[in-house]
Amino acid sequence: MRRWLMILLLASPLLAFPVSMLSGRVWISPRAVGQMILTPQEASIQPTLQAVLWQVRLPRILLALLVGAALSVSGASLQQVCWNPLVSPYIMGVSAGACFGAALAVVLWGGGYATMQGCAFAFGCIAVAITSALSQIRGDSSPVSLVLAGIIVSACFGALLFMVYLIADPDKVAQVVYWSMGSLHAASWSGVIRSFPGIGLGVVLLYAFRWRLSVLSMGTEAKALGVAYERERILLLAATTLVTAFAVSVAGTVAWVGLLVPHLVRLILGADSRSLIPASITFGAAFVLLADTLARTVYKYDLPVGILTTLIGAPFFLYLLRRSRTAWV
Amino acid sequence: MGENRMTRKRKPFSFLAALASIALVLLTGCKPGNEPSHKNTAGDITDQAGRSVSLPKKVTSVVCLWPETTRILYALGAKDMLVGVDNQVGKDPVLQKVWPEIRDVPVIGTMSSVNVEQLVAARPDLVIVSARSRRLADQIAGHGLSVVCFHPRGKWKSFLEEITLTGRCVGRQHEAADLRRFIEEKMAEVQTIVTALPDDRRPRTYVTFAYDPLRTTPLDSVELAGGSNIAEGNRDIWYTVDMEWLLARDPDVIVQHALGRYDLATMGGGWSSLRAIKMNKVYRVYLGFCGVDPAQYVAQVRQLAALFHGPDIPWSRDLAADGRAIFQRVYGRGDVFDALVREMNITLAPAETQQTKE
Repeated sequence: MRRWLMILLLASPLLAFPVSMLSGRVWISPRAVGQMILTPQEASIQPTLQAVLWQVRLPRILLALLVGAALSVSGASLQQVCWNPLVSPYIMGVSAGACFGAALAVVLWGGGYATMQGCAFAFGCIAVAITSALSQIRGDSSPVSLVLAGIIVSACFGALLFMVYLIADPDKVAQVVYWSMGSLHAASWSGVIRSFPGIGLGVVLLYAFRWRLSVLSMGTEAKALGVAYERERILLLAATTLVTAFAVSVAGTVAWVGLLVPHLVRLILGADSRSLIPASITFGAAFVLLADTLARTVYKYDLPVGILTTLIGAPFFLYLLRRSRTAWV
Repeated sequence: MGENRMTRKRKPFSFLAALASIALVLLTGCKPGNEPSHKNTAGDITDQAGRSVSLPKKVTSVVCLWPETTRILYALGAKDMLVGVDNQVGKDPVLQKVWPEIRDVPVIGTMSSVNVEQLVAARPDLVIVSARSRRLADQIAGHGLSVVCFHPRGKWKSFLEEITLTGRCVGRQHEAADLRRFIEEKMAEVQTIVTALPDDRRPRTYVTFAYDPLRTTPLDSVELAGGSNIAEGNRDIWYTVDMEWLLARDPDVIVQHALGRYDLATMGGGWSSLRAIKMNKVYRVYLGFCGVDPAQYVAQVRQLAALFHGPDIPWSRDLAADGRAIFQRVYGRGDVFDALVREMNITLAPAETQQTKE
């Protein structure tokens, strides 16, 4: 049974992909989708449908998959490394730093997706660097110190963000607020190309280290097993930061994914990182893809996907907590 | 004897009672939410938030926290009355040019908040705030100041009403009536031509936000210029659409807010597949900054009419001269229009249409 569930979770993006390909404000029949994929030069297919599928829907789907995989694997890894089930990718301050960076980009340079994403990435990394430095302040660099440092940094960047909101033109503020709620509405091939290297590299690294994560989740006791605990922990934190910063820079704050998905996978498959990490990658990708498909179809306007992941994630997380009687590791 | 003693005993009570009465009267006079009691009021008006306001008889100093009305005050020749403004109006591309000294007017708040100490110290006869900040208006009124709320909500008629009300508030009724007449005449010239147009000659138009091309609004100047705005609803809000929605509607024309710096033709993400982009019908139009601009709004509608309907519009032959004349009349500075055109690359003539590759 567990084996079949593992296969189901691994295959979930393959199930979500056709659902998303066939959903949208423009109806494209499965036959037309097949034609466009198999014979893209077919003259009988309307150019508008071609544009919808190739220029809008497909890049958005790929970006949703990338963002979902990034946030989920980053959450799963952080929870293992920090021995804390309530840690999510945003606890390191990435989200707060990235939102501040995006706001600065809009206020100082008038926005533009590439500028916003670049600044969001830069400030996301700056926030994590400060968090890491602060966590070393007592010399022990314990997971608790890391979490506390992340809370401090998030609070400071949050205050700076409010400062920007206060002094900026309200029209510009509206754009930053929309972006910070988490949205893939501006997805394009250039966004996919920009985010793929960072997210891909980080995900591959975390996947490759899935064996070590189980050992690291034992905490400092792992040192007794001959593991270079500090070095590997720093490497894994860097990888989670990399994927999170890239994901936040293209999609804003897509909340709850990094918390909900690893918990769900852990409930189904157990805490062994060897299955937790790959299943989190694929199921997280499918989860964000389906949430974004809803976000772009359920209402007459495009909704920020972060709103839906929160509305789905929060009550479901509560249900999981109530249902789970076992320890998290 | 006993009576005297009682009288003596009552005296402190009487004194305390009198003191309490005075304190009560004073406190009641200062209680929050109390409207100013101008003995010499110029009458009551109903502002654009639906509030009834008693106007002071003579207004010599104004704090304006809504850039749109600050521009109207300038156009009515009442700029010297301003003793305080909001933090955005100094960035207004038009006011920066026609009145650079606006930077010297004290900033005493934002469009939704105010520094109460600065406001009270400025002792303005009148405070103007956006109707969207009604709570701010109530807060300021609580300090015994006259507050008026203006916000036309993107509707043409209520903008004209705002000009009239502003004139009345600051005792510039004649200037306001002149300005309103000028604007109405200029707009009537457009309406005379475009109202006769059949629906199939009204280009289906998509309006882009300055900082995000996937945000749009049902801007009424498109309809006034003889176009058809594809945005849904009738509220003057910007909202986000998705690219599939836009591709499905495939507008004939895109009106790009000239404050935006992006190039839609090279953005990717499906933009290049839109008919408007293939036909090179993306028009850069300055849609304003924090509300409507009395000169730019008229110039904008006339510009759009000329771009939509070309030879049918007499002033389409020289849009620059038309814009210059409007700015000269409203702000006394025709050259400001030329400067805006240069800085924002505003479209003054439709580019040669390109043959679609379809």
